[in-house]
Amino acid sequence: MTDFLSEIKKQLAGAKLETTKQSVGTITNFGDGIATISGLDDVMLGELVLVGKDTFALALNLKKDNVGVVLLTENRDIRAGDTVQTTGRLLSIGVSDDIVGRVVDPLGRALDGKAPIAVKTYQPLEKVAPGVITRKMVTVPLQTGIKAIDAMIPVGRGQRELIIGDRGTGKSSIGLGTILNQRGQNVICVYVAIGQKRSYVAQTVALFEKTGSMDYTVVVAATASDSATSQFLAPYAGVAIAEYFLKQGKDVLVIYDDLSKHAVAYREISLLLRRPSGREAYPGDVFYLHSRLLERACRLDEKYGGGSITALPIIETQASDVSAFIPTNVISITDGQIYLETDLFNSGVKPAINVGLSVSRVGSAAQLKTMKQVAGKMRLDLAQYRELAAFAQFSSDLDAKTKAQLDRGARVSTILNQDWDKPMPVEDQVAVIYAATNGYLDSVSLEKTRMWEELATMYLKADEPAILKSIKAEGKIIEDTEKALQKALTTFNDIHSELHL
Amino acid sequence: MAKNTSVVVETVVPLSTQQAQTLKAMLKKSFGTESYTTELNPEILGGVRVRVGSTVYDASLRGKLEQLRTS
Repeated sequence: MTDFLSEIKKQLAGAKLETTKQSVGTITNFGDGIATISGLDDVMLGELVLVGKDTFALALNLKKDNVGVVLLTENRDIRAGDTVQTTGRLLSIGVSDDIVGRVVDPLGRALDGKAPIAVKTYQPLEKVAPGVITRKMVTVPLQTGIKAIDAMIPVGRGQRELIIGDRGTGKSSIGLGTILNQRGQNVICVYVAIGQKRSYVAQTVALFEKTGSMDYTVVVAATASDSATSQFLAPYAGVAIAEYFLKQGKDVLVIYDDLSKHAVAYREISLLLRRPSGREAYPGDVFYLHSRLLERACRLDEKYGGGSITALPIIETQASDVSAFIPTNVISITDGQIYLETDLFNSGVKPAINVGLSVSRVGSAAQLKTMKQVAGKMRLDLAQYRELAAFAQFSSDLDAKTKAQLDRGARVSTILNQDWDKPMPVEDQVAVIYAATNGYLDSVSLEKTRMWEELATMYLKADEPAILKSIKAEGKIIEDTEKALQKALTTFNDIHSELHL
Repeated sequence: MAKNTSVVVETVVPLSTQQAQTLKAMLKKSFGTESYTTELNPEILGGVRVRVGSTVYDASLRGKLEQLRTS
């Protein structure tokens, strides 16, 4: 008892009780989650302010005689005349290693019904991107596990690769498939859901849990029923979490699903704040909104701690219009795009990637040498095949060479079809693509190509593991491996004659 | 932002003449104004809270208790 009393006494004696100086203001106008405040002279742009007793807001507009703030949490008890005070803090999110495997909102509060996240440090949501000196070339691949992407549009760690397409073309599936493939790759994944349905977020989390991907994934969710402020902040919260792991020298993958809805949320806030609107009613700084976010993707030099943040932003187009305002903005910010098309999707090409329009501006430097060896010419060949196939529809008699080219092309494009939730290890990809581009599938009937692929990878894994190991370890296909692979594929074709025409 | 320097002094009980004199001298020295309006506010529990324009100088008992709570 006396211990307790003396402890309290000590605590009280140690407390600093000073006369405080604080900038305050009063609410003059409130509605739609936006408050206008008079006074508050010393407020900083982007500062957290306290409205009433327990509601926080973000100062976004500083004008001559008023301050515009957006509320971060719903509060219906706010009235005009309420006091507002500055806090001197910028908006930040509390993070620690425990955040991995959790679902959080943009302010770091748990949404998965588990215990609150233990906070080790606070990461600011808005931060200046790493400088030129601290950066390094992208040279390490980030395997998506999707054949068409890893072979033709390779993504490197630290790259920003846009996934763009109409609704229902499998944009999210590419992002999710990539997360599934990161198991054992030493990559932390952050999946940011912006303006998505809650049922979809729940479904995604269930998928991650089922596949064990939640062990290295953080989900940041601002769903369609959350406020526009929350949706506006979600990507910044995602990258702030990524930066916490970057500081530890880790590789991080962030998926923003999707930035079209993010721009719409920001447009809503801007219009309510009465900022002047520009093209498509977006505010003037909508380009900076995305560029400052995506600039935070980086690969750091070892001298500055190493590590990388890879960004896969997703943009939804309307009626394949890539020249709309937000798509063109984000295309110009990113290091390439994966362009998905409804027509391809409907004709059964999955993933429905338009190879001609998709590019990766820095990824080829990061592609594995083995993959470059086998897939180097595939892009061109495939583009030629598509053109030829369209042309060949009109003519009935083709010369043998053209026919052979068409047959080869059909098999290569069939081999690139893949279920989104079945990512493939890169060594298997190399073996399969080698077989397809070198004519080992020419005699296989088109309907059985997928079955051939499945059986062949199983065969190689079981009977010839040395080949796959060598492809993975050597960094390029050495002559011995190539011979062994040729022999193995011939043997396999002999065993499975039922697959052939 | 236009600086407005209206001064509001909040106390629980009215200030004595001598206290008011001291306060006036301090205000004159720091802000160059002597005029202020007084408000009786039992919610601050004790001490004094002075608002100059949009800045609050809080020397009230309630303010100190809040500091204790958050420290």
